[in-house]
Amino acid sequence: MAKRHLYLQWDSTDWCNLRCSHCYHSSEGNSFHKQFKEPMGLEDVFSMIDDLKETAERWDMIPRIAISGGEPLMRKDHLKIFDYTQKQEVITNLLTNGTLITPIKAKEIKERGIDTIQISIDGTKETHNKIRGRKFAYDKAMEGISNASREGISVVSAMTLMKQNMDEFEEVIENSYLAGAKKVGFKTYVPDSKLGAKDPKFVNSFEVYEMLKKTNSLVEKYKGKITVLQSDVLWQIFQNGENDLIKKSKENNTYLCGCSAGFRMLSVLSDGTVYPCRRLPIPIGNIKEGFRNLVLESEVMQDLRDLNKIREKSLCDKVVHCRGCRAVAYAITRDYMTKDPMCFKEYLENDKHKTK
Amino acid sequence: MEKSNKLELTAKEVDFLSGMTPLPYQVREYGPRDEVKKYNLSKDKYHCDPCDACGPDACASDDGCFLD
Repeated sequence: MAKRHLYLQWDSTDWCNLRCSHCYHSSEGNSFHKQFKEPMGLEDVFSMIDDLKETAERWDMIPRIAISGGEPLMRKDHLKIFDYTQKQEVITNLLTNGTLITPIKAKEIKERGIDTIQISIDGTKETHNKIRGRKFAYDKAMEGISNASREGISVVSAMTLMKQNMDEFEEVIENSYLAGAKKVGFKTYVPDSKLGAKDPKFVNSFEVYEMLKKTNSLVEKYKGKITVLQSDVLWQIFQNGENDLIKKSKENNTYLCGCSAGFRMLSVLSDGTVYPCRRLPIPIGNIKEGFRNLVLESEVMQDLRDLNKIREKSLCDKVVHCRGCRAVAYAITRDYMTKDPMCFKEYLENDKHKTK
Repeated sequence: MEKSNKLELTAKEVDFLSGMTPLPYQVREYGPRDEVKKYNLSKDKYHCDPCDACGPDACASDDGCFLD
């Protein structure tokens, strides 16, 4: 039987050398991107990693941590942390802006068993630098991709899709390929919950749908050069149909895939505060309370696992393998259990109906 | 040690774990493409364990996994 991943995303530091307009730290009041909160000390970090590993073993799962920030390479003891995750055999990914990955840093990362990193690229040079608030951001990020790739690290370029950059995905693909990235994909921006649908960066469901359609042709165009990720669950279901596993999940009403919030992930802030997902800013406790305790006992986590409630509120039967994005639902409606306002199922169904 | 841990699972843990569909084959150990070859699976027959490196919704495609 296959093992699932038990996953922890950790903001290792709030410090950052960029000033991204869409950063959740800004919407949470830290527009200076400095470490105002008391950060977790090294001992606490090691305990968190041990806890993740022990819980994963207990639940027969595979432990994985994604180290993010701020900019994770600005935390001074980051190499000691990478050493520890390697020693504990916890799969480690790095989510970085790429600007600090010199050839030496790439070697240090690779030596510590991190062989996949995600570097953010948000458009052309002009757009990227504007979004990221620094004139050096794009060139340094591209250098970071090259340096990491030369060291044998598999780089995934990740674009946050916003109104400002939604016409520039192909440029991101082309330039990421030229710099040496192996894969490239986009994730839709989750609106600031204080602004909701009025957030000017918010991409609506029709625009997401159109982007996914365009991406189909880009997957083909770049085949053999760079893998263009087409990983949206709902899109895949409509492309591939419902397989036996999906049918079985429906019958048993058990979670299969899609959003893993509530089931097998936690997001930890630099001071140890825990959210169900980094994009769902509802504190459910502190990581010192224990991974197991937080997953099992938190009312929010229990809610997120309630497939019947999500099905009733979203009027959708695809809940066992999609669930929409609970964070977008919360940002727009303040109810994380309701229909994902970015859901494009209707457009898919209409198009499918037309082609029949 | 691992076995004794599993024996000590609480009722709450058992309930929690049974809320997730068991995955019949391990995509990640080999990478989706190799897995498809190994078990002669057609594209619509396999499932990729969701990958969170790219966010919470990557799934179900040989091109959809960041870690293969």
